[in-house]
Amino acid sequence: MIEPLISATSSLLSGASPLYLMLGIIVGLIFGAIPGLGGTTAIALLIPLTYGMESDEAIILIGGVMGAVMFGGSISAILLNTPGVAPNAATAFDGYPLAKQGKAGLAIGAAATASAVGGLLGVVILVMVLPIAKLIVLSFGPPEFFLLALLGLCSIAVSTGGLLLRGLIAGGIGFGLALVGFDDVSGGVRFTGGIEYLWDGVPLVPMLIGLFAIAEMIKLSTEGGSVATDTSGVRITRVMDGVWATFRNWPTVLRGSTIGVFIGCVPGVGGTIASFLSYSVTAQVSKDSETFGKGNIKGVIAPEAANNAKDGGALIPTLAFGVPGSAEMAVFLGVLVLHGLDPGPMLLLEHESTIFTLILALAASTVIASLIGLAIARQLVLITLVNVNILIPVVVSVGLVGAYALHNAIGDVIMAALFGVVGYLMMRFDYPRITVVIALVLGELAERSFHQSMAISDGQLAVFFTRQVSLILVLMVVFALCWPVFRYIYTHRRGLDAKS
Amino acid sequence: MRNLRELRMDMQHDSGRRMVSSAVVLLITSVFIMSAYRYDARGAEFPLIIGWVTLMLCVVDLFASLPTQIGGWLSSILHKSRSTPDDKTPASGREAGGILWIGAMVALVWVFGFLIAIPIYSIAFMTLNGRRPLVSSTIAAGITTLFVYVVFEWLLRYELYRGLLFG
Repeated sequence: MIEPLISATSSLLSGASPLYLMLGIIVGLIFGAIPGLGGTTAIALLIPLTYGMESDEAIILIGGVMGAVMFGGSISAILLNTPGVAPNAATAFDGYPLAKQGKAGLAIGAAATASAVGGLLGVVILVMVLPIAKLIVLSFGPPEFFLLALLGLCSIAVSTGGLLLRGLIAGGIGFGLALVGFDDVSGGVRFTGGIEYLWDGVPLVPMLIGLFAIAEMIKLSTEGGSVATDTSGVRITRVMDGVWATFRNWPTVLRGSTIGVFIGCVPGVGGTIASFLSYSVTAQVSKDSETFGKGNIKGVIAPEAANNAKDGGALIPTLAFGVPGSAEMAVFLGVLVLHGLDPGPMLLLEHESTIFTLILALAASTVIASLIGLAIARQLVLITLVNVNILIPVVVSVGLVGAYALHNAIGDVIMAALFGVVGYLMMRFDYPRITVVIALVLGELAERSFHQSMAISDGQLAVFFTRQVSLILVLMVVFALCWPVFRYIYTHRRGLDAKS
Repeated sequence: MRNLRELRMDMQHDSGRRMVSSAVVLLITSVFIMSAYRYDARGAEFPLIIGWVTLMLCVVDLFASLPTQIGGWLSSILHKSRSTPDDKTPASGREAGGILWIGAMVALVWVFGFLIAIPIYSIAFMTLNGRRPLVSSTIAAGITTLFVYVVFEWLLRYELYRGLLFG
């Protein structure tokens, strides 16, 4: 572990890497602060900038974004009661009342410190878990790889806000898209409709830009207006009081971070649940629980610690098993693919130093983002005044140029726009986009592993049940699929009990 | 407060919306399966598994969207819409407008290339869609074009598409 760590440290400190880290942090803070954008859009738009970079530099840039987005969102949540990203909604419960009492600095100082400490704790736990994950991965064969892709898809579909069925259907469509183009197994091309452009498959980067950046802009254009109308009342003082308050409330930080890491580990559950759970648990165990919602500093510390710690947790399934825990992680896997790093369990075995580079970048960015955020919080809030009618042309233009830049192909621009419309319609009709991306990214691995499994078992499907690890994975898939039924029975019974 | 009749009408509208979207996805999946049968056995094996499983899920989804007792039961287990009765559905005209603006941008890029399309699209969008003053729209469009030029052509040395007319 020491050797990859040294190599990762030198990557992070050499050449233009520190500049890329700073760029990622600033982009992350800005995209985090503006509601409706968030980390996924930021990463999708930054992908084109990484084309000419070394893989380590690209990962440092993205790591910078990941570490900074949450804190960016908490600034607008505290000062304007407008969470930048969904998980920051819990921060606004007590952050905004504090700001109204003239204690915005206290809240922002506490949020910054809790974010940094939570992020670092998440990374430490990730580093501790990786060697164990490596041992597990070594026992995997083709059937396990196939089942892992299936499990990733099912667990994400289950956790997409009650949209299991449509999550799975979207996953099926994603697998279908992954099958477009040249097929290694049969040696021919499939599902191209005679279009030569599709022989290399559905291009991942234009699809990501379309599904996340362009689709969000279409949605914003239907809503109109600007995010905030007045920031004149924003005053930021007593920041250091917030920093000390965080250290004084160390059990809250520790509890929030632990919740964040564990929730982050579960694919698809995400930061919103982590921060709300951390908030509610803290409110329940606190002696002054009646002051929550009225400006209790622990109500800021708990969700912020969980928010940032969950990134470390979410990287465990993403890096160890190639199963992304969130849309942001799915787009991050797209970056890995672009730079020749195949997502999946072998990533951990073959590119350990790259993984450590990301971990270090994430750790550094959580701390630096908090420092920068504290310094420019007042200015950052002004960004939310930008009218969406200015924001949309900027994001659409940069997005489409980015889609074009990789292959200098106008077809990629059309593809990005097409997926933008598809992404918008998916949002509109309750089809989760994340399962499409996960299926597209893991589709090739799933098909290859499926054929290899069939080859080693002479076409017997029993190969998926007779091996110990595969059997466990099959049971996990079945459990994931049955989970909504269990939940329905449980809530139905509770309803009957309450009536009686 | 919304009355019961309005709420019921919204639920029927939601059910109809879901049925149409389910039917469209069912159709796409059926076309995918039919296409898969054209390939040899090895090339079609995995696509057919994916296709048939997805088709079955689409059928269940279609049943779940029906305004019947079984549809309601399936829906309560497998589909909890994220929208609440108080959520505003965007007007169809605004939605179509949002999509058309993207289509217009792509057409402009195709014909004139990025460096001409970006200012035209930005100014048109800000003034026509956003009702913003022409001067501030022109300044914002200029900054966006300059940003794209400096970052992509100058710093990253990509040659941006010049369009059918000037390429």
